[in-house]
Amino acid sequence: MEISRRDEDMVAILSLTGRLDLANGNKLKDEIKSILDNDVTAIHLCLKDLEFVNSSGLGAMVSIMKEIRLHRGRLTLSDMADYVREVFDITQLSHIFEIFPSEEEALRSYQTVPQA
Amino acid sequence: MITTKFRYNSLAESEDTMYRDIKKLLLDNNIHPRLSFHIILALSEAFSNALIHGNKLNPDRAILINMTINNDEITADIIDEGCGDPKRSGDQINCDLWRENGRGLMLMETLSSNITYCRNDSTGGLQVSMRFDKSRYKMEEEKVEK
Repeated sequence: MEISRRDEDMVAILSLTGRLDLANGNKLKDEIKSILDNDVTAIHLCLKDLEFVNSSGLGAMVSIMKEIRLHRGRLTLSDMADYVREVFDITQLSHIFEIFPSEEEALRSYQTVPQA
Repeated sequence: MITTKFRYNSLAESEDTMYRDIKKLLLDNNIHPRLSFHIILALSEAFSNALIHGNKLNPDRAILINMTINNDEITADIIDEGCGDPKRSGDQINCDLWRENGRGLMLMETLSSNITYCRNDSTGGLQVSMRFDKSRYKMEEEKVEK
C-alpha cells in the first residue's frame, strides 16, 4: 500500500493506494502517529484508490481512530469504492467513522464543524 | 469444472502472493467482480488465521488452498498445519464496535454461502471450507448486461 500526504487548511490528507491488510496496517498506524506527534489532529483519508481492505486493515483503522480521539482530533474518510464501503457496512464500522462521498465534502465539513 | 491448488509457506509476504494468485484465477475465469471481491476477502481472512493462529508464522509449515470453480459455485478449502479447534462456529458475539480484531470469522460467514471446519487428514491441521453460490450474483450480472 502506498500512502501519499498533502496538507490543506490544517488538515492532513492521506491518500491510500492498494491494499490495507495485515502487512500494511502498521504502516498506516506509523504515519498517523507521526502526524499526531507534530500536533496535527485533523486527518482525512481519501480511499479512492484503496482496492482492498480486510479485518486486519479495519483493525488498523479502528486503532488510528482511537489514537486520534485520544488527541482530541478528528478523522474523516471519503471516496470509498462500493466494495470497500460494503465491508464497513457489514462490520457496522460505518456507524463509527465519518464517511463522506467526496474529499471536497469532507474538507468542507472541517470548516463548519469545530474541532473537539 | 476447474480445480486449482496453491501452496504457500507461512511467511507474512505469502499473503501478497496469495492475493495475486486468487485474483488472477478469478479474473481468468470471468467471475463477477463483486463475487471475486467477496471470495478474496473471505480467503484473506482464512489465510491470515491459518498463518498467525494455525501455523504461528512458522515458515516450515504450509498453507494449502484448493479452489474449484464450476457453473454454479466456487469452493475453497484453506488448510493449515496447526491445531485449531474444528468445533468452533465463529466469533463470539461482540457488540463492541471499537475492538481492533475479531471480525475475520464474521466476514467469512457473511460473505460465503456456507462454511465448515474440520480436521484435515493429510496435514493434521485445520481445514476451512467455504462455498460461494454464483446464483447470489446472477441478478447483478443480468443488470450489468442490460
